[in-house]
Amino acid sequence: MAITSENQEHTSTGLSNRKLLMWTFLGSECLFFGSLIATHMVNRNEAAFVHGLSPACLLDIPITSMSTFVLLMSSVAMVLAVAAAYRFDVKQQRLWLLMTASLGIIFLGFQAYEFQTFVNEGLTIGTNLFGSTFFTLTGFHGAHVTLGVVWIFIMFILTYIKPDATSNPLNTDIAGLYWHFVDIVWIVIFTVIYLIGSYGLDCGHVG
Amino acid sequence: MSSDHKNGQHGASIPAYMLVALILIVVTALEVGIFYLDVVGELLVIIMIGLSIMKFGLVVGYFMHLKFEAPLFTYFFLGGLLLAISISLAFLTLFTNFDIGEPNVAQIAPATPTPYPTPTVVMVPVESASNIVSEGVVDTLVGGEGIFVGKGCAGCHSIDGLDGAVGQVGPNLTNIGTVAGTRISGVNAREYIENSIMNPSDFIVDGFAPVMPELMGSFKEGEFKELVDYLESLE
Repeated sequence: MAITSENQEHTSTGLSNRKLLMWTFLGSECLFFGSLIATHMVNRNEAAFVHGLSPACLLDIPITSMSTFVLLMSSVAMVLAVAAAYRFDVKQQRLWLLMTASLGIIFLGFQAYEFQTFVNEGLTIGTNLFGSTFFTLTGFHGAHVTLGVVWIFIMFILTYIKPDATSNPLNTDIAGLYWHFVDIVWIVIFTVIYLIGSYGLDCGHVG
Repeated sequence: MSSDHKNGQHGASIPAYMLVALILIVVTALEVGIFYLDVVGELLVIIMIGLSIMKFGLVVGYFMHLKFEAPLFTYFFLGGLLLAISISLAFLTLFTNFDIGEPNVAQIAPATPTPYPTPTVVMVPVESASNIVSEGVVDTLVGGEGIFVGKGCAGCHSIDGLDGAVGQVGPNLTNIGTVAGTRISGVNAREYIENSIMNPSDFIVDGFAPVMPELMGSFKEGEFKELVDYLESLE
């Protein structure tokens, strides 16, 4: 069958331009998130970082470990969706696309719960440096997850209403690259902000 | 399907993906375990960064099949990634002492001490107050004095004889160990000092504004007691 060969458009590099563009974009996203994470780490030593409320009192490691696990599983689901796309197994592709988007929505639910809890505890983006850098960083990550969920859900719908557009496995592959990137950013955020970030800090309520 | 490998779109088989997923779960569990058991001390930062780089590599290499793709993709991605890491390290070198594992007690002073500007306005942002302090103070202060200076208290409160404690925003604390016991009836000196740090707005001395920041969240174990001990000893 000539299906695989017609997916390979002719380019001067011999590689898919769209895939190369995606990897270039992800390289630039490293800079975007890198700067936000660095800002958080740099400000960690400022007295004003915890002015008002300390991360040690707020960050909930058990809950966040669960949401980290959920996002990890969504990446696994995405891998299976891409594999199914390359097998031209539409049923499996739909199943795993839907699973990926659903797990992404669960992750966003965790994040909404966390933000809500923080605001109830009195931490907003303007409370202290921790609030500013935390909400900016995780907020932008959440926005990326949201975009990914929308993208993947649209792909899921398109497998029904416009099968031609999704029969090319490259489309699923590229959405997968974006989704996995969002996952690895969270791997870094979880380690740097949550685990390292609350290590060695006492919550304030001592006698 | 085995023909997947032929066109290079697929690097790994489904069982291989499952194995990678399992490793990722185990490593994440390990991270959380290490965090809670607290057995590695200061090594925690390095171990956590190592494990997270490992997870990062597994996802990029296998889930995103970068390991099996043409090198050009790797160059484009790695270019951005390395640039991002370099910039982050540069920021950390410029603005911190790399003690990201825990908050600092006393900032290292620059070689040339600069004269203190005397604050003339009441509202001094906390960060600039602590900068004023960290600029001129020798880093040899230890114990309660070190905490007093390290937490930025000295930017707003004066203590005669303590180098750098010249702030005018809050009350002078030279004799606080004596004065504290006389301020509120039924509140002894220690309680007064503790309460004034825990709830800065409770007891405001006439003529001063309620602008002291909340610091409780920033104390490491024992620091709060050490600071109160020190202030109580100023008689």
